[in-house]
Order: sequence, then C-alpha cells, then structure tokens
Amino acid sequence: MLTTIVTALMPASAPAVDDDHALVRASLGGDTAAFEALYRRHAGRVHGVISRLLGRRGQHAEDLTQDAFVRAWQALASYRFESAFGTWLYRLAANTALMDLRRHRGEPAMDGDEEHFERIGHPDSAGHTTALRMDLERAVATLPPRARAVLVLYDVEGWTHEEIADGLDMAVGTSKAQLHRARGLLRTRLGEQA
Amino acid sequence: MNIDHDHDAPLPDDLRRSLRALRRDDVPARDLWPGIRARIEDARPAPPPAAATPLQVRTQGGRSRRMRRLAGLATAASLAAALAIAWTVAPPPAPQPAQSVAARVILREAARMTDEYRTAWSAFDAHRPAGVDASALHEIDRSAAAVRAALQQDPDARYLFNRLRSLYAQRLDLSRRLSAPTLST
Repeated sequence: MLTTIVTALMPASAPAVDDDHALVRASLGGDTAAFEALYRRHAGRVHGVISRLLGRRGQHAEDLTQDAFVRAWQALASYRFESAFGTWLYRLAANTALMDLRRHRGEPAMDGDEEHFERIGHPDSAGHTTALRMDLERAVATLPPRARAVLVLYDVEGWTHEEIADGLDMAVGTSKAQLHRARGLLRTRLGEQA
Repeated sequence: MNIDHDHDAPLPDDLRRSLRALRRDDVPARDLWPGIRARIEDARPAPPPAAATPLQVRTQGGRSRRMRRLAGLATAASLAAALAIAWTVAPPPAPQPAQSVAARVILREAARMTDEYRTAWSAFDAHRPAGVDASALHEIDRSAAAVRAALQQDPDARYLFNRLRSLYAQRLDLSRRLSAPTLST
C-alpha cells in the first residue's frame, strides 16, 4: 500500500524511473558520479521526509539526510528494480529518521518531558496568542516527537497503522492512540480554526 | 488497545488536505554531497589487485604485522560467509511451517542489531584517513550480508544470529582501529 501511495503522490517532475535505474546500475559498479546524480535528483525528497519526521530542519536533519544517502549506497545491492528507486530511497530515508527517533526514545526529549513540548508555541508560553497564528507546519513541528511522527506518517505520508507500528516498533493500538492524541493537540494549537 | 481512534478524532477535509500538502520536497540548505562522497569513497567496492610499486612495497613493510591481522580477520569472515552460503544452498530437510514467534523475534532483533552496529561503525568510518586499505571491512560486510540472507532463510538458526553478532563486533572493532591506524599498531 505504501508503494502505491508513494508512487501516486510522486510529483509530475519526478525523474524517469528508467533514468534512475541506469544511474543505480552505474552506481553499483562504483560510479560515484552516477550516485551524485541520484543525490541531486532525490535530495529534496529525502531531506523533506526526514525534516517532517524530526519536526525541524537544520544540522540534525541534514546529518540524517547524509546518513540516508550513505546507507543507500551501502544497500544498493539490495535494491531489486521492482519499484521506483525514489520509493525505495524514500522508505530508507524515513527509516533513517525513525531509527533516530527510536534511538532517542528513552531520553527526556522523547517521552519523559512531553509537557515541555506541549508548552512550546502555546499562547500562555509566549504571553500572546502566537498559537492562533502558527501555520500548520509549525504546529505539527511542536507536537511531542512520537505523536508527531505518527501523525506525519499517517496524515502526511499516507502510511497505514501497521506500517507505522513496524517502523516505530510499537503496537498498532499505540499508533492509533498516538494519532488520536496528535490530532487533538494539533486542533488545540490551531485554535480549532481548521 | 483495539479502539479505532481514527474515528475518534476525525479531521475536517480542509485540514486533511492541508496536512497532505505538507508532503513536499525540501532541498537541504547546504550541499551535502561532498560529505556523502567522502564517506562512500571508503565503502567503494575493492578494486582488482594491482602490482605493487616500489614505493608501496616500502611503505607496506612497516605495516605487515597489522596487515596480517587484517587478512586473518578477512579470512575468518570468508569462512563465515562460506558457512552461511552452504546453509542457504543446502539447508537441512526440515519442514517449514509458518514462521514461529521466536523466529520473528530473532529477525527483528537481527534488524535492530544491524541498524545499531551500522550506526556505530559509520561514526568511525567517517574519520578513517584517506588511503587506508578497507578491503577487510568489505570482506566482513560481504560475509555479514551472506549470514543475514541465511538467517532470513532459517530464522530459527540461533547460531547464525550469534555469528552475525560476532561479525558485527569484528567490523566495529576493525572500523575503530582503521579510523586511528597510528594507535592500533
């Protein structure tokens, strides 16, 4: 299902699959120039999904984007040419960000201090009604990390709860509960204007 | 928790559309390619062996003991690969019912272990000096790939999991030593 959704949502300007396949084959032979072409074509998509899952741009998102391409290079031999390379790379990039989220799960910023995240951008925290003027992207970014990841994967990226549960190593019921919570927080932060 | 929360907090259509519209490309603010290139150059498939030049012979002389150790590691990795391949090509004639819970747990653990070790050795690989021979790393990587494939075929084979962990430990140790070659001899 993910493959179907991702393929359906590919922008019209997406690089031709055949071109990507030729570049992948050249990369498999050690041609770094070909792999650079793949990077140039897909960096925006990879960085986009990683930034959305992290809830921010900046150094960390760029580091993970770099990691994703290095992992892609190392794992190229496992690409079967059965789906679009962009789809394969997108999934690898998302998994790179999810690995990072899982790795920091036990840290305060991940689970133990969600109240902190819930205060960010709230009208009371800034002394004025910033929340009412927050755009949607910022509102999503200030959700607690796990809730944000589930909401982004489900409502933005189009994953199923089963795929999310697998990616975040959680129960399907937990994914649904996190989505419920994230949507509630999001609507609160948008001032029920949506 | 079996409640379908999708229906507990349904989204208005315009918010649903707005969320889906967030799914757009976002080019990094800086060019990441130089950093990627530096890291993948180290992971490039090993070139075919060439005749050593006199200069190479001289510089290799002082490193012979370490190179022998690396060669030993690579040999051990090759043996592991051969074992894994043999297991894959000629598995024992056992019935293959639906994958057991234990098998699924082992596969999940193997995937988690793979991710964690890769993250760990990538940090060392990123600092490996240019020109250091990484062929032993590639050999271990190939061996680990073969063991992983064998594990997919037979997730209940606990020794394959243990073998994979051992290879990863070797890989990490070797990555660490090659990232600081002057400290490893």
